[in-house]
Amino acid sequence: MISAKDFSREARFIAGNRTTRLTWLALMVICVLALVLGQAEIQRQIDTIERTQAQDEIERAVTLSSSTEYGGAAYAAFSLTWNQPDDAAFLAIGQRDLSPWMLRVRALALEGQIHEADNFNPELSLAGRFDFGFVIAFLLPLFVIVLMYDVYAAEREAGRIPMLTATAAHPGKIWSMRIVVLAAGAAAACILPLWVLGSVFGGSASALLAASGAVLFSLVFWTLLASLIAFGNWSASVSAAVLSGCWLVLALLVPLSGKLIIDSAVPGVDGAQISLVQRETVNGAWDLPKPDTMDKFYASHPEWSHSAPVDMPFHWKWYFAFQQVGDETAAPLSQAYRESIARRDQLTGLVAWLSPPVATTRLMQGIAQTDVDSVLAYEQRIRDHHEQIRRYFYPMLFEEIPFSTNNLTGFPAF
Amino acid sequence: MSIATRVAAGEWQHLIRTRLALTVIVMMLALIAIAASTSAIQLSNEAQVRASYQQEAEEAFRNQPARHPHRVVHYGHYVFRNPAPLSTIDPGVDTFTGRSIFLEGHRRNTATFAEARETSVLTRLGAVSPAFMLQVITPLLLILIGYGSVVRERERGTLLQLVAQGVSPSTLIKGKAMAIGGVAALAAAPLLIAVLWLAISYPSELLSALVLLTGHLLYLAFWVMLIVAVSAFAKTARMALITLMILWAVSTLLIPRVAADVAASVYPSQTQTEMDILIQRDMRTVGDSHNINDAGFQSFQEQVLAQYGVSRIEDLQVNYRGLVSLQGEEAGSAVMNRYAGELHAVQRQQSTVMNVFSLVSPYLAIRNLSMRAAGTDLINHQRFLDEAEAHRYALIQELNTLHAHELDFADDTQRSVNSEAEQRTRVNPEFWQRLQSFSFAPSAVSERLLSAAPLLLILLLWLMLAAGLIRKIADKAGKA
Repeated sequence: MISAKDFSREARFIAGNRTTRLTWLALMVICVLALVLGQAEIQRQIDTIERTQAQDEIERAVTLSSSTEYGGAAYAAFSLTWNQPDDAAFLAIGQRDLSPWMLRVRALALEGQIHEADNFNPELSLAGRFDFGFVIAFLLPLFVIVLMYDVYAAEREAGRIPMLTATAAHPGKIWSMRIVVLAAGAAAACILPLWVLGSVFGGSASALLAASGAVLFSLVFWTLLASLIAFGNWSASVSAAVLSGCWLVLALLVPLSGKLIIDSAVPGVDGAQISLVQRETVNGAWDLPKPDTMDKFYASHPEWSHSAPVDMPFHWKWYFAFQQVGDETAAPLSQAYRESIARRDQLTGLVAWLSPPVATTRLMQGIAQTDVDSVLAYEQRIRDHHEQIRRYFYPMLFEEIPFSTNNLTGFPAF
Repeated sequence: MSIATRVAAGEWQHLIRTRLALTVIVMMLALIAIAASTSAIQLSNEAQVRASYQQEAEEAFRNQPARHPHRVVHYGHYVFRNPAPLSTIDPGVDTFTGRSIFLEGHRRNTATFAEARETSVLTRLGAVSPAFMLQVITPLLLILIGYGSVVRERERGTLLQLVAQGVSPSTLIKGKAMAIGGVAALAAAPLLIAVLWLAISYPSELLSALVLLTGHLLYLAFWVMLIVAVSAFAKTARMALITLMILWAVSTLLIPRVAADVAASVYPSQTQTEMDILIQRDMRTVGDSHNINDAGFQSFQEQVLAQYGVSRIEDLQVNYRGLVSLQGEEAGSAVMNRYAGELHAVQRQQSTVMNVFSLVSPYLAIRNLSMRAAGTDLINHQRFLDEAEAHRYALIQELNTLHAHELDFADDTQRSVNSEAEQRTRVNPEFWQRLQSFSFAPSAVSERLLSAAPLLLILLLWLMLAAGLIRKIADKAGKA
């Protein structure tokens, strides 16, 4: 059993080592930096969302109040959607520097709008962000290696092993204690800033607790691996080399091989095809007899089938009917595209079993709500909102209510 | 055989005898070969796919039936970015940028469907490419092979023997550097082959490929010297290894990400959606070109009437609706280009910040140099966006000109309510043949080399630093 007395004695011994203290300190500084930079990015995103919301309301009010027909209003009125960062988003930026977290939609065909990309600077995305998740997944293991690679060999090379084993009642206990103290110092260096800054930044206790769990997961794995190697019958430098090799394989090579395997296992659905199909259907409608489009639309929207036939070259209800038919035609492709992203994400989860850094990253992004699931959930919320907007305008278009701006109140809120 | 070569040969023998070192060397070569072949296959597939999409899109456009020109403005067109030849070696930002852009009237769209969204967690530290292997993995493996090269001799006491045999410290260090450098050269050999092969298939890329090669050779030489210097300086092999690992991690993992965050904080850029809303706000003063009575076109109307010497738009010899479309697109595109220009300027400032950080991270120096020379950097992505925009503007204005000159104003006004008038507003499909083909190529080699030059200089500085370090350590050892 590990007693508190043994622990504090060993802790005093280890804390007396200047290199160890410096290593712990460096880890803590890096954690603080990562948390601060992560929060700065999230705060910028929150500010941007607020600013844009205000301008969006102004623009929509102007558009709706200056409309002269319902169809024109439906054509011109954009509505902002946004993916509000979770309180714990500062832990890991995740997909938030790759996938859009704001998007404006209007009643036109959604497939032509929802795949809009943002304009992130790709050279910054290429570097990735310095967030807490990255530190814990990729840098903490290197710190553990530096702390523990010579825990045994250093004593052996100094010739102190016989003395240590002779004076201790249970020789094994000294080593396990030493490892526990080294790991505890590293844990404190990560978890202390996490709780202090995390609470300041508004992270919930449950998120901080879960993030601490992710820290421990990464720490325990690398501690076990480091102890396993460090007690091998070889020199300290070979331990360090083998451990660095393990890091290289687990952090870099397994993920890259995983990517190659996933690429061949899940043939990508080309997104460009979705917009091509949608475009051909939408534009082709102009050259088709009106009833062709209307019948297709009424098949999925029977509640409007009583609407008067379209007998003019242009009518807004026909215009919005073919927008919807365009979406319905592209729906299977679009569904397949989303499924391939979800499937790739699932397989990435399998790769995580072979790569603790990938597992840690996924854990952190899950806690921070910045993972692929959260992006797909946001996309679904955009789809729901778009449907609300369509259905808001349908009664005015299909019942052919005489125009009045008074009817344009109650535009659905996101 | 000189003494230095003998030392190097001895080190090679040692590496081959030690299973760990041999494993590392074999692994390194296998990785680079896999990366090079995967990346070459992917690139040729990509190039084919994109070329066929481009052709498909152009055929779809040219095969349109008779249509109203403004309908074609909304039908739009797609352009695809064909990969740069050197992206086989360094794909740069390619996986993070969209591959296609939808061109339509009234809007300047951005590139969509970036590959990185799909398996981002796995590739956030780098994609499978020869550049990544050489810039990130190879230095790490060279560290594992070379950290003990000098310090081992000291720890085992063989250093004194060597000195007794007349090997001076500087010769010893030189010999060790030659040995590790030999391994590095082995790692760079696939790159040399790739460069030669590319130079044959794309003779115009010869110079940029050579700069790419030179950059990587300088970078690897820097690491070889640093490894030997640290190994000569360190008291113990393990201190040498840990020091080198820390230097590698700081240069390759830590600084690039901190640099990205600093760049984003110092020069915050607008997101596309915020920009779109502000453009919409500014466009209110331009006016809606679908509505010829929009207040924004009042003075334009007076100007046109005066120019043609008539008092009513119905009396014009051209279709006034088309003129409004031309005018609206011109004014609107000026607004959109202003915003895009500002965004591009901010993004370039961000990238300059990243370049400045290469003074503290040799990895950033080679990464940016390599992307710039290959033409797979931000600058070329922006060029693609700008060229697509120029293509879009020319196409839309061509259609608006048709709208103004081929259509009768009375028919155009009646087309929503009168089927016969609507039929007459459809122009002959032979006009769609006027579409120009689109093909994107990275900027001229000279431009790319110009933007890579400062980074090459920084890399040289790093090399000089490592060389200076070696000389200082050798001098010190010589005196001792």
